[in-house]
Amino acid sequence: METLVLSKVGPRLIDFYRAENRMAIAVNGPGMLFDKLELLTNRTALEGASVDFYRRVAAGLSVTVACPHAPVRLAEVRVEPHRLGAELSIELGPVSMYQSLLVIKTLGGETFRELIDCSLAAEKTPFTFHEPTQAMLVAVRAVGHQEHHSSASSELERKARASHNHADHA
Amino acid sequence: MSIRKSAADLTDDEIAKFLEAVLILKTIEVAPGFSAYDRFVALHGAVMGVLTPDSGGETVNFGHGNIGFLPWHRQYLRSFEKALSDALGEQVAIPYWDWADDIGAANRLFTPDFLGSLRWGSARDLSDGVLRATVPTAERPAWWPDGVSGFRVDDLLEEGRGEALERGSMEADWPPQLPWLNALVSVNQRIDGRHPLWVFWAIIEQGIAQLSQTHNAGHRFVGGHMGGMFSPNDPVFWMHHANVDRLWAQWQQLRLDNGLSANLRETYPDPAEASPFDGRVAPEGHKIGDAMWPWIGSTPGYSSASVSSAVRERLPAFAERVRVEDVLDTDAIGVSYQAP
Repeated sequence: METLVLSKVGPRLIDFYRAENRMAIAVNGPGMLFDKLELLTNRTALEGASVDFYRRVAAGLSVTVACPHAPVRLAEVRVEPHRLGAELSIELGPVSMYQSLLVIKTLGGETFRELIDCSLAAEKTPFTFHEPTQAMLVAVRAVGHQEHHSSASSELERKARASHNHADHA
Repeated sequence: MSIRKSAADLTDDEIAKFLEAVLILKTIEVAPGFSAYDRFVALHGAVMGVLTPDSGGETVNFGHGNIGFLPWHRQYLRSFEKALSDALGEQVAIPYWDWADDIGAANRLFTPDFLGSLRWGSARDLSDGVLRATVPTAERPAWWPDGVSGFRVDDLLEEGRGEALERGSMEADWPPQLPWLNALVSVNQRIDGRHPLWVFWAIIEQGIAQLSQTHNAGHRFVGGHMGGMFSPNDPVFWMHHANVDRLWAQWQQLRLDNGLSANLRETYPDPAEASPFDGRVAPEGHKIGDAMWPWIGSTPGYSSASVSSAVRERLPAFAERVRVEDVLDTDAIGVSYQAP
């Protein structure tokens, strides 16, 4: 399995409509370069990409995140309403100047493409068109946290103010 | 001349010498309770955000996120190597972690006799070797320095992980394949006509799909303290970066050998050249003529904003002024790499 890499070089766009059921993405600078992944599709809600579509996709995924700071754990896959429609996002783990590794799998073993097709479940209407389905994960750029500034800095300030005993150090 | 060897090729005596020098550095107190080793660790966190006389209130990362990643860490290793040698009273060379040699890493480097074991899953205290926080008397080697009970992470630098060195979160996504590393050291891709160092730097610091297992992935692979801004807390940091530097030196030499660069200066982009990735010229400290903080001589007006005031007060001061161009030639700075 090839590991995709999100970095300053790119890409920002990952094909999610693929005939595989597992993908690994190494994310450089989670929280510093990238905030989250967001699922985008060219299908409208009338063509199946409704809020329930995003809920079905989210329910069909298992995402783990591994980073140097914390144990491997399930990453949050969130479906949130927004004024322009629903949004499915995948978290990238704690803020880090180095890297996290995201592994995305389908729970049922079907391919991502099958999961998308099945979850779209579009009723054929005059308002559907017939362009090929596209589904992409977009790496959303990080805001609000300076590159390479550790989130530990404030903790360090707090500790510095507290008295601490260095006497036992080698 | 410092001859850096693969860590897997070190003799028992060379391993002992390196570890002894590290532990002696831990015993040299430069501030109350704060060691000469800790001072180098602090510097790595401090370089993340430096206010300079010319930065207009914005912080500059002198060591990461752009092409200066390579020369800054070359100089950092050089300074640390000198400190190790001074501590031991004889020449000590930093070995390199040959990423592609997973057998050597498993059988030699990450063993109780050298750096201690790696661990799968969540980060936990190191459970074997001389880098544990407390090493039982019966397990201490003959060279063990007096008055030392173990290798402890300073509480200003432990990033919530405690005073015992931690590793963990290791995954199977390692090691890199040698053919891809060979492709990296010969990469000559010019994006939109830009200098190929941009490509080499981006891949070796952050990785790319075809070769994702490079610098950042190595920090993640080891995990624990290696995953934070004070990653040099784990001595494997120095070997990891020695390998980065070795690959950069190979890339430079191949350019000279193949007539792709007329001289070492030409292996580095012109300071006016914009990055093919963000369209900006390299930031302060990353251009060929720039001095690299903290090696800025007596120039006033520099201060780190990325560490606490307590850490800031304990940073090392260097009298020398070192520019990017001063470290392009490994021979000139007295460093060579022995092939594995």
